[in-house]
Amino acid sequence: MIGPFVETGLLSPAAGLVMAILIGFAFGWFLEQGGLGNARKLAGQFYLTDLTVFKVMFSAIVTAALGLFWFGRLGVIDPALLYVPVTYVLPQLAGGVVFGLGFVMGGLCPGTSCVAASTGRIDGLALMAGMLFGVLGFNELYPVIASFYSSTPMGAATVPDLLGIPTGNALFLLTVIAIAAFVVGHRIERRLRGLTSKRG
Amino acid sequence: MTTHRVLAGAALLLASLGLVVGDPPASRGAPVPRVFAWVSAYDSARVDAVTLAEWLRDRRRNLSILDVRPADAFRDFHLPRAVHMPLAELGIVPADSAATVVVYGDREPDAQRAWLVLSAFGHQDVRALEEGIRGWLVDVINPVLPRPTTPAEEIEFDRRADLSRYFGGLPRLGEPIDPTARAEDVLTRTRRRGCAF
Repeated sequence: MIGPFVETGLLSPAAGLVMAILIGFAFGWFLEQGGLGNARKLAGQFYLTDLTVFKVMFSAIVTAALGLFWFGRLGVIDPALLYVPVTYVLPQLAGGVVFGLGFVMGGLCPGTSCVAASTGRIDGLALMAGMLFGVLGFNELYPVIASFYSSTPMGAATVPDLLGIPTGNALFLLTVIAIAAFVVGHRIERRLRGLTSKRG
Repeated sequence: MTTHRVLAGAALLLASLGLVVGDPPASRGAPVPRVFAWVSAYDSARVDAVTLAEWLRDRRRNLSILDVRPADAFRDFHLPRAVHMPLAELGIVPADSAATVVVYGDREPDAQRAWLVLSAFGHQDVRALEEGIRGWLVDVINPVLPRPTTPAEEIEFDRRADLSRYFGGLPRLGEPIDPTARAEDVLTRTRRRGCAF
């Protein structure tokens, strides 16, 4: 097995950080190319008139899941060396709500705000500043919210473990749900865009 | 057929094959995980104040304690045998494979950063004090211990109380210290400042 490169020692941690920066640039470039640096486009997601973000993110999840599964199956990557983020149910639900509110109000998420800022959009810069203040604020508030922050822990929860099914079955389920969601989403998008243009 | 349909078909085909090939084999003698596994490694690198107090009392060999708080806070109060070492200067601490290095700050995130830096600089056994200096003040210097009701609890009570007194603490029965109290407020209740070895 050769991957993950840093974990297996093929790349030094420093080289891994350089790779992360390069991949970050590529990620940002593709987001910008996909129009995801535009707050109007992103906000369209919440009105169901433009589901680009949903499609991009869900297709990225399916692509990564398929890639990891098959690279693991073919012995290229050792899945046991991948870090699985730990689940804390209530704090992460609360975080999701805060994230969603910020997203719908600002029209950008953390990644896309960087993309927007890099192209000189003022809203992107404002959101990045907000994000930095949020990070500092969280650090200052940490002693107060520490107990909530680490409440309802579930460990490194994964869908196959939670459902008690093999990884392959979970992957199939995820792919079918994604394709169905794309088809349904596309129809909703077309219908609502039609309504909007008629009203306009 | 559009590109979207081709990609969806390919994804569905790969996912369907996943149903029959089974899960990836388990890790084969995995090498020591690094960067990403640091996050989970940190959990096992934490040391609670009571354990650290026992190490100090038992004169554990090759134990060094680094205080990453500001110099004035260090002057006010620090753990026995602690050396002041600002976060920015941690890189100069020579790595010693036989040493256990315990780091602490005002709060645990400071120790977490110090732990990360020292681990990156090749220190083998780095521990971060849980809850920082506050953990020491609350659990060692001012422990509030539940009234023992069973023989096992009495042994535990005596052990904790003796440990606290060893470091000049004031073990008490009764109401716990307010979990939101600031370290400085807890500090004012200490009987003596520091403990010279």
